[in-house]
Amino acid sequence: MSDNILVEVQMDIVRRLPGKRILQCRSVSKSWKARIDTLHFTARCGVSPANTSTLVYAIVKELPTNFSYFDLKPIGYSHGVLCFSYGPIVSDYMGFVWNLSIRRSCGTFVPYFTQSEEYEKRLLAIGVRPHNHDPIILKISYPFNPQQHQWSVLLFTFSSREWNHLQTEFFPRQSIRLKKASQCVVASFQCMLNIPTPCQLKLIGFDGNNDPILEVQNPEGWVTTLGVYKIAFGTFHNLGIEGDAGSFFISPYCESIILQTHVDRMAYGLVNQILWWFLIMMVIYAGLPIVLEQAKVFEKKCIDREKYGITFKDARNIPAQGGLFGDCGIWVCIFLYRLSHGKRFAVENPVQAALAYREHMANFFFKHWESSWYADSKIAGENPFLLLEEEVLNNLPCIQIAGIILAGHTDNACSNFS
Amino acid sequence: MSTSSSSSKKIVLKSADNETFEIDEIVALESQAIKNMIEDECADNVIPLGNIDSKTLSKIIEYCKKHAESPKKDDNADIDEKAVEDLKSFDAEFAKVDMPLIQDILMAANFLNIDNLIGLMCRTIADRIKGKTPEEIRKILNINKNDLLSPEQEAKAREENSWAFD
Repeated sequence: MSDNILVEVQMDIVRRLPGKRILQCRSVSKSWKARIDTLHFTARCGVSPANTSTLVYAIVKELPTNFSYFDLKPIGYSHGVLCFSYGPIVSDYMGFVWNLSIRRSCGTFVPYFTQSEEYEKRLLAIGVRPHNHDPIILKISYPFNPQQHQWSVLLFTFSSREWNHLQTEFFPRQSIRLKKASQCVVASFQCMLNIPTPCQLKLIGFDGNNDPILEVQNPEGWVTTLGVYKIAFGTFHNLGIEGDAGSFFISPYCESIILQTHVDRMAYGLVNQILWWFLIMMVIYAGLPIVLEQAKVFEKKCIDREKYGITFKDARNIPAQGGLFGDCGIWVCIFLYRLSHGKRFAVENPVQAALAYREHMANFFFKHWESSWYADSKIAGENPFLLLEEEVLNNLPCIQIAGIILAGHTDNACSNFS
Repeated sequence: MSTSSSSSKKIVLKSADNETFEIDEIVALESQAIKNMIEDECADNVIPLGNIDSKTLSKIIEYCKKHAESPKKDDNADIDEKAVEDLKSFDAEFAKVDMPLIQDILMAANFLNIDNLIGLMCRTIADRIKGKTPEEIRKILNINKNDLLSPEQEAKAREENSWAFD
């Protein structure tokens, strides 16, 4: 037979390769690349257990990122992708998934109905839909004041790149009620584990010998450690992994090429933030000429007032300092502020100081921009919000929007996003 | 080629080079395509396979015979492990042929719709191209020259996953 193997059959070969090899195969031919870069192919590749004896623990320490570990919290592991939440600052609070085998991560900002951190308690969870291998981040929020706000359940699917309310199709057929229980049922066998210990324990999973892996609270503090209880010997074996309570999970390691169709380090945004960014952009359009005029920049730089333009550029990959408030800009501002107000430079808690200053500046900004800048601008009279909604909601494709958000957020949340 | 049991119904397959193979119907039924033809009663005494040469066809018949003889999983839930092992080692032995023949078998298996054989051949090819560069893979699978990425596109595709090429 002289003909070639049909390309569909060739894909049947490619999908059996390890994830790394599949990525290489993208450069074999146009038809290969086009087919590999589809969600359909991701689903067909399925999930393969790379090594059944390897378990995934909370492996934050091995994550190759310049995120601050401090705020990285593991949420779960499914189909070869890890999920973390990041950030204590409400507007920058993110959930992101990371596929270890193809080294790709994608995140999304978690939506809020208000920017006030205190109004709700939130839970994030990760899952991968089995039929199309689409990762899903689930957010359950319950308000501290149920009279004012309602419970809400939101789903983010990476195929739609949107947060949506939970559809009734996902509800269980019967209502279920979960009670607090001290007993566990594992698959078909039910057993009561009797572990002699003076401190609180939480069962996380089992190791290869079916010995229970437990989250053990350290007597002296908040930190919890992982330990295996060897049933046969009646002894504890400390695994030497420390973390926050409730942040551990254990699963068998497996491989998939989930997220292959996504651009690495992409952060999918929210419509609210898109609106916010456009708002800021328009404020700059309106406000910058006034500032330039007052500072006499036009004369100094010989700029023609009629002919100049303001362009916005995507400032990805700019050098940025790591850490939560490591950007020196905010510290320049903080020092200036403290100097002008006759305060000492030394602060007790740098993170709290930076956080508080940020909030202060944000309040200051939103208090003053409206009255002074918009009134003088050329587009005064038009309703900026109407304009924004039309532009944002109808005209722009999702990827572009996400790119713009990245450009807008050059501070810690995005530039350090790894 | 004839088979030992003469009681069952026979099917005759004719290869591209006009060689005929008489096989038991049960062996032919391993092919979903032939099964459909028989069920639709559009199969004459002789089924011509104009795109499969005799060398490939005899290999495929060898495979189908072995698999038709072996007990099926869904027939008997607890088939003895020896049979499974036996079939595994047969498959491993069967796949020890050169690349052009493997590709011919894969194409023919795809045409005849023999699921297990497609899987076996795909796994075999995947194993053999695992350590190869894209350039070598193109050569092995005879990828059409008109389908290649432009140098810029290829550089971009590589750059997107540069770590994978280390």
